[in-house]
Amino acid sequence: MTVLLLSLLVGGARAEPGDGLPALARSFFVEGSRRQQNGDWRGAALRFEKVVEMEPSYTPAWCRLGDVLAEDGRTDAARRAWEGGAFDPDCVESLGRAELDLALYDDALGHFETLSRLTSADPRVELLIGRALVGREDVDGAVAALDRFLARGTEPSDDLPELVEAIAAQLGDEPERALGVVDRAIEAQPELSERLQAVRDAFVVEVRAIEMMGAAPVSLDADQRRALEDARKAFGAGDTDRALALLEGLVDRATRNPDVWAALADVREATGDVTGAEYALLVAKTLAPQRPEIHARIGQLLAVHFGGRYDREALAAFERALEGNPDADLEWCRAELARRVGSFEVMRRALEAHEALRGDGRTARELCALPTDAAVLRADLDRPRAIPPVVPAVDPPEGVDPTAWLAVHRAQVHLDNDDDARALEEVGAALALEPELVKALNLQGHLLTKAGDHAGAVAVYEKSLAVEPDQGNVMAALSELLRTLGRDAEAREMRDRAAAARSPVARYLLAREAFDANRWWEARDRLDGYFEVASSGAIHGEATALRDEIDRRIRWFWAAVVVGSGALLATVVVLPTAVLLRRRAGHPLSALLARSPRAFREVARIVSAIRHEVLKHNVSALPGVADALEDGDPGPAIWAAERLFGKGGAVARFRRYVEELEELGRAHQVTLNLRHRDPVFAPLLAAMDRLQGLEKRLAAGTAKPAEVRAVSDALNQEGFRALGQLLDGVCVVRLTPGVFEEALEGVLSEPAFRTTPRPDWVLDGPEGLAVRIFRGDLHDILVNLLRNALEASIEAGADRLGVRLGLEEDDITGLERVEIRVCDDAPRRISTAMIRGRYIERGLGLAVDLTSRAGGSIHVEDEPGFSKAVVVRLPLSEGGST
Amino acid sequence: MRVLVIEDGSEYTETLSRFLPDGFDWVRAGSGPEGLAQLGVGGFDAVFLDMRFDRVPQDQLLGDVEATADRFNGDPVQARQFLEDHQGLFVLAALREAGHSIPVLLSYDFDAEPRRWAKLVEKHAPVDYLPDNASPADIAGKLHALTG
Repeated sequence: MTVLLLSLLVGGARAEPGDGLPALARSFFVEGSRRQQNGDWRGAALRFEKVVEMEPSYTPAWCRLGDVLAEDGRTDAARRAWEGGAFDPDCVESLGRAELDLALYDDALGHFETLSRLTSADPRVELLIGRALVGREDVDGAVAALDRFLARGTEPSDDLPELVEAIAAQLGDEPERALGVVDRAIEAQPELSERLQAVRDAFVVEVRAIEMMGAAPVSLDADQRRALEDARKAFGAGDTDRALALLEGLVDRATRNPDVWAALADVREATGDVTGAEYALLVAKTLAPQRPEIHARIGQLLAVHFGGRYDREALAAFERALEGNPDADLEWCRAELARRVGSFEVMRRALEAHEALRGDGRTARELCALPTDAAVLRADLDRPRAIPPVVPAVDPPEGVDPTAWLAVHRAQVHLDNDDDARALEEVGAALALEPELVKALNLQGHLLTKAGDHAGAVAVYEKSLAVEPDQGNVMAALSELLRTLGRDAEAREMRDRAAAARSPVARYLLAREAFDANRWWEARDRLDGYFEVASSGAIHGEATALRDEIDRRIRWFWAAVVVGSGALLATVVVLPTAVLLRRRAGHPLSALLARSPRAFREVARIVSAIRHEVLKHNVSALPGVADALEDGDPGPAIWAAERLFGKGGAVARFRRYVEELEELGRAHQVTLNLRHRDPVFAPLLAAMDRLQGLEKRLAAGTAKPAEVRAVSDALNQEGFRALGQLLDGVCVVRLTPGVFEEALEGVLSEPAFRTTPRPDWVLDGPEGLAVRIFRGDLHDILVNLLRNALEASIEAGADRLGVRLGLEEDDITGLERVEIRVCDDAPRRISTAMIRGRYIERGLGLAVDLTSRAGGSIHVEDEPGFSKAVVVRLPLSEGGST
Repeated sequence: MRVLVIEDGSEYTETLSRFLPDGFDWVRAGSGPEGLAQLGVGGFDAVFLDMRFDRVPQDQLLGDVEATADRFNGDPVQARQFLEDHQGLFVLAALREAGHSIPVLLSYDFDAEPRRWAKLVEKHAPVDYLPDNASPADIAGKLHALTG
């Protein structure tokens, strides 16, 4: 019908009749045309028949006659009429189209080849030839015809999407090739992208699903994980030989682990082995096709190191990296590569996306730029590509229906694309074929959890465990669901089972729980269990930080035990004296903070909790209690007594926090004496004792208003203010030049830089800024960034570093953040996404962790006057002090 | 005075109803959207607004988690916490944007941040604040001054 309608439109557009026709024939032709326009097919046919009787050589009449007969459903008669105008291109095209419609593909092909000759090889005819070839199931011929059109044809044509859809339908079992056809068509005629998007999406899902089916990455064992960490540390410290040796050994033992291959790529690139780096990245991509950072690294490698020869591939890699992963730097690279291959529409869209993500127009010029050194560029032109790796695909599990297996992987792709509805559909299809397919059940459980159907998810996970009992991560997910449903005892039991079944999440959570309860040895054992089974993942960074913290506390504990044992003996011998000296013994909180800067974080947490949980909403009610007592109303006092002194009341909570601080001090070998020696806590504890003394009278409603007021003032006014100042003291660092000088000196004193001349040092920005972060953390961040900048500068032959300070403000909260811009002149080889992905382990992972903990961020940006800046943004402390 | 208390718990409403029963009618809204809906109905003289909302579901938080995540190295957990910790100001901005010029008393200590507070006042007046440890009587005094 579409074809016929198109025929009508073509007919309707023909020239008005008939210069050269006799008057009578012409009047029939005009009348026929009028009736054709009005849809009077029979009336029109009668007139055109008259014309061809009178003037059989007038081919437009044959064509129109064929058109109206076809509209009237008289197909055979229509074909005979078009054949009457055998040398009129319109008639031949109409005839061929009608034959396409009738599935007479050989005839149609013959007529389209004639048409091509009649129209001097009009490129659009290739599309019709292609459609006929598709009909003959000659898909290779059809693709060739399409490519001939794309190579020559620039005018839009409705036949293009028809042909692309027909080819794609025949290439159902070759989705990657089909996707290539669709992409070429969209690239040639971007206005088709909307119409072809659904076709494209379907093939993208298919291609991704097949990639995933073959991937099957494997985890590392504990030894392998340690080796990977050692290699990353060695690389971060500049020992590339050792890093390379470790990783080359590791890939032999852990051939299907993408993390190892990706790390190896970093090191190989750093040593100049670009081909080897590409090979490693291609293996990593095969094993983990869904990870955007790997595609980004491939794009970057191709964009920078091959003299522009593989820019199209690089562009495709960046586009893949950007799927579901918006990133300003990667968009810049997409724009740059699109510019280089001449796809200016793609470039425009990429720049728009880049600006929308960043907003200030700053760009990652070096990230994917070609080298500017002629010798390097010339050498790059001869650089060989890596031979594509052969990574054996993994077959579906034995006995599993391949259709169900593919459906599960399609569901996974839909899930990754946040299309949960279609994911559920595919999972349903898989389970209809294989009701006990564990992978499908687990996906279904996950999707139901996301949809909030917790009871449904529990049922699905239980079924999955019934089929395959030893699934730790399923148990961990089930445990969380049970907890959500209030089935706490079952949840606990399930989490223990999950840990026993090697679930990393369960093992980490149990370690965390033990740590939070100060059961450090148990926490350490449980965390060892975590590291036995995990080398990466969403919680890996937290787990690594927790291990460091546990180790630190245990070291301090043993040191404290040694000291404490001696103290115990002394206490037994000289007890009376000790009692007398007790008030003078121990230290204020400041001693702990001075001795162990790392304790700042815990101290701040506890102090903040006292302010928020104890004073707010609880003790702050005391003035109202006093007023009510004055008015003879005991009700508020009785109510307040319940809140303050009941189990879990404010006073008990306060004392627990004080004990926690003292315990913290012991862990750091500092005996605290908050009650007698601390200027903040001594008055607070005394006031709290006085409040405790009022318990019975408050509960009876007989307390004196004045004494209630006095206690209230001590807690709510002096205490609250003093705690606030204490918090500021531990969390705020004033950004004096000395802070940055100290960090630079620290870097320059490291063995790797002892022979490095001090770089030119630029330090500017407003004075007197202070940031909310622990001093030690800020120092570590600066050391890491400056070390990295110095290393990169040395590599690039640059000798200048800078730190610039600035301010930015949040529109809604009015909160200001201080920008610390660490600038250098080295080429830009990393992006914000890569830093955040911890992909390049040059010590930046630590800086990212520490800024995150302080509520800040890190970006890589261009910097006027320098090559780039790594920009740390931290919360401003207005009027803060050290 | 009819005061809309926007808080994620019920502590303020409970305490204020108990200690300031006379001359005040305290009405609670449990989230920003709920508060905006109640203000839309009208009949309030002032708003008492908590700052931290860490007990409401995410769909009841004002602000965009995804956009905020960029402040925190892309971490959505910290972004959500930021929205929770400063939710009072998101509510304040939203109610001003909705055209409500009603006096607002914020429960937060801006004493140490005079510059930030001055900017917020410039943008959102009439508005005042009291720290977390303020007594019910302090709150009453501020509310009277604000609406006076």
